[in-house]
Amino acid sequence: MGYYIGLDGGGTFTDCVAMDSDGQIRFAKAPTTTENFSDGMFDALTALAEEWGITLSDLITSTERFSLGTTVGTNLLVERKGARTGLLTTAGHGDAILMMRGSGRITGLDPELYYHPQATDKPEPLVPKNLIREVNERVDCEGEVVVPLNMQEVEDAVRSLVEDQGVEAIAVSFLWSFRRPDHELEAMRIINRIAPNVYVSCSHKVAPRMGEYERTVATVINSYVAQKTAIYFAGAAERLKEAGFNHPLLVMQVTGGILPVKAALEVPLTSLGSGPVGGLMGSAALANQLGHSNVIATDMGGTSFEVGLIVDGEPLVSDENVVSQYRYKQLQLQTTSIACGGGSVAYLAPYSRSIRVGPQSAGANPGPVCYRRGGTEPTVTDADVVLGLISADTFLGGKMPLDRDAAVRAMENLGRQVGLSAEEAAAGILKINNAKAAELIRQQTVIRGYDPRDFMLFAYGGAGPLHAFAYASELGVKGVVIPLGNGASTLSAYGSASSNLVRFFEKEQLFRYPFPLEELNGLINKLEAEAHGALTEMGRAPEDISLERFAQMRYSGQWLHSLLRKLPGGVYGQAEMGQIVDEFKATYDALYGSGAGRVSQGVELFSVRIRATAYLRRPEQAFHIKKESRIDEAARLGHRTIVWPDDIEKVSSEVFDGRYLRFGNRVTGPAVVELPHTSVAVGKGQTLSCDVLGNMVLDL
Amino acid sequence: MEEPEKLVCDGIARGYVPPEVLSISPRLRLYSSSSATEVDPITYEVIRNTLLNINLEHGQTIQKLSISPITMIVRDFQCAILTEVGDVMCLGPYLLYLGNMLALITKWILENRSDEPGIQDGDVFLCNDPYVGTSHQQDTGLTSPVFWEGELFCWVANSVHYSDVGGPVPGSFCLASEDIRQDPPCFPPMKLAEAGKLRVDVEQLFLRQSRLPSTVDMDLHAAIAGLNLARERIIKLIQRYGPEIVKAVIDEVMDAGERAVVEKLQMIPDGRWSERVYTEVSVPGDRGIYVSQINIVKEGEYLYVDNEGTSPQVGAINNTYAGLAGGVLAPLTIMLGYDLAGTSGGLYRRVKFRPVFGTITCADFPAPISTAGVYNMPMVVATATGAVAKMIACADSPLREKAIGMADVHAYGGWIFNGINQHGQFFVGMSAGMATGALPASPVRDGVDTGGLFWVPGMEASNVEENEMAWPVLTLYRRENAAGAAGAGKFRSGLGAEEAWILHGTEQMDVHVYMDESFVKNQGMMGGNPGGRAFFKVKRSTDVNQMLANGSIPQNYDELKGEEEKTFFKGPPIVLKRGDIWCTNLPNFAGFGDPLRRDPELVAKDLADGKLTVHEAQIVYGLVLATDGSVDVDGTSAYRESRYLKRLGTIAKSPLKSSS
Amino acid sequence: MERQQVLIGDNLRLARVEGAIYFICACGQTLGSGDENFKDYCLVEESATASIGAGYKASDQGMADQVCFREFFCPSCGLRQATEIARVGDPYLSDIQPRL
Repeated sequence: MGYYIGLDGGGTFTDCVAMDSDGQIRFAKAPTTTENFSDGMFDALTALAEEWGITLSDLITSTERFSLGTTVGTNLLVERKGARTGLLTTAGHGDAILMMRGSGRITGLDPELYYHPQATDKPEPLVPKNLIREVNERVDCEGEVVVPLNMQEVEDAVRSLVEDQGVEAIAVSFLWSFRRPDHELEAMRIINRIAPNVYVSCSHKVAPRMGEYERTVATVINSYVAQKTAIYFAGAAERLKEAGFNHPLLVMQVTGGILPVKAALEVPLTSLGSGPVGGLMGSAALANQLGHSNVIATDMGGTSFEVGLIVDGEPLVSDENVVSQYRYKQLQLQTTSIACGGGSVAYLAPYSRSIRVGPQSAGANPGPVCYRRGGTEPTVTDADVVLGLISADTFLGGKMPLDRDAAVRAMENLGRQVGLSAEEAAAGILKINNAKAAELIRQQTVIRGYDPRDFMLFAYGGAGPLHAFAYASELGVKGVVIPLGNGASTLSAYGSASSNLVRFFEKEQLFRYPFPLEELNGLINKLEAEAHGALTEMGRAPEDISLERFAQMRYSGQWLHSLLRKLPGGVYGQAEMGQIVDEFKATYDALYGSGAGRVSQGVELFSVRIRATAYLRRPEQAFHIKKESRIDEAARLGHRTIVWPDDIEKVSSEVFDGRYLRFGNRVTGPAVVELPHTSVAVGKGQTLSCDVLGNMVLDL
Repeated sequence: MEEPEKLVCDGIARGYVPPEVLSISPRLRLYSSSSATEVDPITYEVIRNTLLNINLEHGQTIQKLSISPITMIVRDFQCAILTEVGDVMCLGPYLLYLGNMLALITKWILENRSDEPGIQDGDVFLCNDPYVGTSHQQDTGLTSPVFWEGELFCWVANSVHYSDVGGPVPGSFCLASEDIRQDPPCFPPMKLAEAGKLRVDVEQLFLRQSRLPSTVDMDLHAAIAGLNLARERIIKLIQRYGPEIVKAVIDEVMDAGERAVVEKLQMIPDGRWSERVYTEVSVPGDRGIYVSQINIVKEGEYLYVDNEGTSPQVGAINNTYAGLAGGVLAPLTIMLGYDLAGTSGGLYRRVKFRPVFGTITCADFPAPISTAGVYNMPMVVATATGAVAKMIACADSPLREKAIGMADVHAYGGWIFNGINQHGQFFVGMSAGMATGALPASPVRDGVDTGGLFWVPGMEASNVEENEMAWPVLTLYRRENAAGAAGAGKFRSGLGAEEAWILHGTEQMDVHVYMDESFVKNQGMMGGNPGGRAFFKVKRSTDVNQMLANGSIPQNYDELKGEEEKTFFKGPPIVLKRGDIWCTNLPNFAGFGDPLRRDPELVAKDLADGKLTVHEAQIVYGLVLATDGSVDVDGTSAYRESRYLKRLGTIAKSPLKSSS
Repeated sequence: MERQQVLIGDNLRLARVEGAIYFICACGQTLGSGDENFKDYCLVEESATASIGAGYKASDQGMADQVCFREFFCPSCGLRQATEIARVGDPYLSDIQPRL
């Protein structure tokens, strides 16, 4: 028997999933161990082996493939525990990363804070001023050298950073290096020569995009997290090897693919924050098997609500990300998040006799009032408890009895101030929270020209399955999938187990319409050859490799807007070029109104992107073939009174133990299906059924 | 001008000041709230949150689809949701002074267009007339009614800076204009779209004036797309919750904002606070000095604002009533309305204007207005900021901590230029590099270095690479200013930034607007130093190209050889040529309190960070260092004491006095 | 609640002293009564704006000469209570007049 394991760690829990060669799936989790990640990883694997009824050693030695996703890099950054990093940049531009384009004070913050300057500040610098060195070199916007690189200055700067300042890593970011990388490459050679132990990354490699600020931030973060990320991967690989695993360890990337450790470490930044991406990839893999081409993937946890879109089977891709108020360029699957989750705090709105929810969160400490950890402000989770959607006794499989009375008292106290009962206040909190979630989804879909009614909604994360019944109805989506049922909380791990090898090859180069075709075709050829070569080098057979072409297009002058267009294959002539431009214009007008794009304004194609995918063979996930319409008695936990938020009516609702629901079972709302790590609420008039893959499907 | 008090504030002879109750044609049916509608506290919050998001999305649409850096990067635009009678319910985190202007335009339309040609569902009005309600002609407003079942329910509106709207000068800032008929044309409100259909004749009339019709058209359609999105979403909200409920929420949001402001007003003692800012040169060649003054009287739960003390209108340095009101409301939004998330309508109700007309900050027709965007508007905001900040600094805690010193006075945007770029295209550029801004000092903390401009909250500077792609320039350096004397204080201002440039890929370029102040205009707060002097320096025929060829990029303008061009504030256009180097800056802003009262450790930190020289630490802050470079605490105290004594010993009491 | 005093920034206040209202410096020095301009009770130094520090000097000296930099010091402790950029000869701006 062979196993295919996916593991996701770094958050509160380390989650793992294994599929065997028959396509059966099991899940497990264990608390993450922060001092030594591998410990928690092996705790989780031990639990996983138990699920299969085998020993850990048997599990590991028979594992065919192991992929790992992690938030370790993000943690390093947020906690400022990365390497002491120096920055080498073009003379005159060393302050760019400190000035943060003047918007670092508010980047990524709630827009309400924009009006309140005294409540905002810039973040701690990633690279303090005394670790920034400027050298003489200059390239212009056409990629022409204006001033050659002064190699002596590079050498002096590196010696001063390394010998006087003790930096462990260096980021090299020169102006226009993405047009002409020569100077960065030369600087890297010098650094490697005189300080071979210092980690170096270059901006043209990490983020080959226009905009020195965002490119520099990406490069600095890359250098900042590189060594510790490498140690972390090496540690995990080493432990696995010792335990008898003899394949290369694969690492989840924010681009939505996995890569062997060696390739992943070429740009460690792409392993940063791969957790949410894992969830999205897990959703995509399941959606693909279920035949859903359009999916809204929603992850509601304790503090945040994260949304990603899958359109025509493909997760959307973005080029920017924000961490700790630093914005950087990074090609990654698009996810957007707002502060909205189980821990979001409800409070009395000043001046208007109404209730607001979030963005403040009680987090895990003190957490909701019902957690008995000293929390006093009612949260969304407290509202769930007050209404009965969460049972105080069976929360987390009964491992953590909740204090319902305290939650009720907190809710009464809040409700009294606006003339509501505890139940009414609790129902209101859920409505507000759900409206916020729905609003984010609406923004993410409608603004891109998509209609939520054409989408299935996937709900996962600790609080997603419990609230999806409401925020999904709000949008009129086709239906809701709780992916993998009880496995919903391990979806990221499932995503890394089910991903393929993916690498992007991209070049930003401006082509104004009419495009110089020889140049464009040449660039595409070059990138495709590079892409093909890289995957072949990883040992992939040519027939397993697929290359897809994309271009970013915009109207001349639009710096903040572009449409990512999938391009046809083959060599382009006048006809193909005309078609590419016509389709761009048509899409633009469809999105923003007829005539929004002006004919007189030129069209630009400014980046060519090749996605190279090598499909990995894995067993087909086993389908449950035996349909059971009768619900196992073990699944029936009896009834409890739940106040459903829509009409604030006490209704006796049936409660199920989701572990015992089988393919073919149907549950009619009002009901709650309890699972060890989450619960699924089934609203009145809704039905929940279990599908062939172990997903729960909610019909609204 | 002989008897200005006889002029009426009709938006024609003088700036439009809407009456308390508008005169609206009975042909137009308004959806009015019924006071009986009760909204539960939950639905209220859901709808409030959605309305704010609709307005943000309106702004994001403009930002994304527009192509002028001034709009998409610098956020020189605004959008709002207004009530059926044109009161602002909420505005976006963009150029704040534009918010009330959208109200003025909308109210003027209600009073002057509701009968003929009438206001219908699907209309979009375009207006750039400063006497009706814009800051200058470039900031053109679009406003569109939202109807529900034949009744006017509310309005959505935006104002966007269009790169060129005609007139004698590229970019439309006409420094030499002495009459508005020498300015770009003014269009009082007219229908750009009628009953949902774009009027191509009106669109072309507007575009025909511009040197950049294609750019302006893209931006105009970005603005229309924003309006359409906001209007459609509001309709959906009404369909979902019913008009009574949505209307009741809009009303309550305004009432709640008003209560929030009243509560803060109660923390402020009654009294009067003033600020005075000087400017220079009314038209090129003039040598005059002019005054902008704002006085705020706080009486009970209202603020009364006037501009008495301001110079009579003159030359090309004027703004209308719209600019005065908007410029005062901007800092109030930040210092009194900081917790309202842009729902500023309730705040506006508590501010009453008693303008002195015929002045440079409240000019009568036909004073030209086109330059106000770079001169008067920042000046009015700065003047108001000074007065508001002093008032807030007298308030009870915690309100007093929200006071913010004066920011930008004249340098906004830095400089405006045009030519043929390296791609062979004609362009008009407004440098957005200086939009790094800086947060001025406050009574409790330092400002934030390159921390943005607080009255354009979402503002951003473009990347150097973006500039070099669009314009034929090379930026030699862009760096934060030093801390020094400019903006020094017990709490110092955030630091601004400086940039040096050369031409690249072209032989010459014209600069029409540049900021080279003869004297600093910024005022310090409560004994703090004023901000720095904004400058624009040009050196001709330098050896810069020789230096570049020798492998070295000049890093200090002052050390370059060449002939210094004598520049003037509002001087004539400058033609930049190959071999010239020019340097622009956004100076540090206001400091708070006597610099000798600054915590020596904070001075030492700036020293350690390389932001301050040892010499300036001593001169400006009275810091004494020990031989090991650490702060000599006793030495600093003693030295500062000697500085106080010196002040007492050497200064004779001045004979000048305040006016009575 | 009746206000007993108004704190103006952190080194000046308006307060009642034996029934009358005065501006009072942090050092205890009174700076005129509440209906006067406290600046009239300060030591005032007027200098060229270029003297404030580096970067304040412009090329147009004739223009710069029309304005000055004023510093208002407490006559007792030497604390700088206010500054003004002002046209030479213009009266001191009476800018802070809270009432008790």
